[in-house]
Amino acid sequence: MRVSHVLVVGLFCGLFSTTCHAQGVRVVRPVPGYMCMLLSPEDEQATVQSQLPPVLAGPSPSAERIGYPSGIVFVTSPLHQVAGYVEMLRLNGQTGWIEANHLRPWHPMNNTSSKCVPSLMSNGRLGADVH
Amino acid sequence: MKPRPLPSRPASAALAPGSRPRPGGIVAATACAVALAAVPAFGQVPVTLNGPPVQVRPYVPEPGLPEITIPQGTPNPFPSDPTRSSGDGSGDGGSSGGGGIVASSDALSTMLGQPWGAAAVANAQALGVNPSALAATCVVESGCQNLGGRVAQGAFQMTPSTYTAMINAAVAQNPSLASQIVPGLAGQMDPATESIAAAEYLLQGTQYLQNQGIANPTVLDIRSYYNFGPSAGANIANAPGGASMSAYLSPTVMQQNGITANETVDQWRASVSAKIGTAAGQSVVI
Repeated sequence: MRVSHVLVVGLFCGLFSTTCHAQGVRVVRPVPGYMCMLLSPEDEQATVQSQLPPVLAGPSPSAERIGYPSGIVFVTSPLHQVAGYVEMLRLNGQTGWIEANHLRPWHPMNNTSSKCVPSLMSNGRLGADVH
Repeated sequence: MKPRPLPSRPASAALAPGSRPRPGGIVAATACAVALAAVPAFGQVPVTLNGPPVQVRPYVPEPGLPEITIPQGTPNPFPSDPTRSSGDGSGDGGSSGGGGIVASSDALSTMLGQPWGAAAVANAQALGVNPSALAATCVVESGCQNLGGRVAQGAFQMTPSTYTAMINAAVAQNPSLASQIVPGLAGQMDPATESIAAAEYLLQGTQYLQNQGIANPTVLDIRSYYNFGPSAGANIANAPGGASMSAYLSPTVMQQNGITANETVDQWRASVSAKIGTAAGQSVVI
């Protein structure tokens, strides 16, 4: 599972934090099986995290809330949708579910032909490689 | 063989009453005293006071003494350590356990130079926030000046809705702060009161970034959250340095914040670090 790679690099950075801190973050490799989406324009205007849609542990409103999303959301590719919820991967490698109506296709904000690739970063977390 | 005990001299013999010290002993003792006075003790570190000492503000007048006027601002009481991390703009987008530094900073000195600076420091600490992180925020937002504005206002440049939400959350978290708050939106233009809301916002931002996997967010990490909100905050805090800021922010937000079209994340981090100095690498929470 991809998450294991995240954890291994994360453990390395935890043990040798000075090394990881001294170097800027760089892209290590793409994370296959996921693609970028964006939060809805309304959600992007959120000023506090509680205004964001929750990320849940399962595709149900009664599922445990495990956090909040970032503006760029990594969802499974192809899209895995259950009961109005889309499976996603959080920046810390944890899988979760978010309501589909809070998402829209990713597009470059600067109107270029850039692409967004969910990637493993050198700090052990996931990040959006937009190039 | 049985060891022979060394001859000992009774203590009373050293300064026996009526005895006279030998002249050679006086010369030797004087020479030692001069030598000790001329050469500083090994390991002794000279301490130079930088600026006036921390002022004590008298609140009870003492009979017979003239009234004392204390100048505004308070010298920085936190020890400065130049060997600590300095913000060089090469932020790693979240230090996975690499933070943890709470110390003095140029930003803290700037905030403490304000009449409300000491109160802001106490407010930050009451919420578990590094005072240098709070100071860095006001330095970047307003130069720690109580500025008006169309939307964002005050020394910490918060919007009314965010200010209201955060001041309420802060009081809920620490009810003892309620007595120090200027009520209503007027509190937004009282820097000491707004510092409570700003510290709470930094705290919530830290919790958000930690939930995203950034174990110990630095002041530089939290800057994107404070500036652009949670949506873009985590993405920028976790972005590769060479990425363009325009990948994460709309052209409108870029323009509002004076970010040029081709500005990279590293360049933006460097510009922030240049403003807040040594606070950049410090932890947000204490």
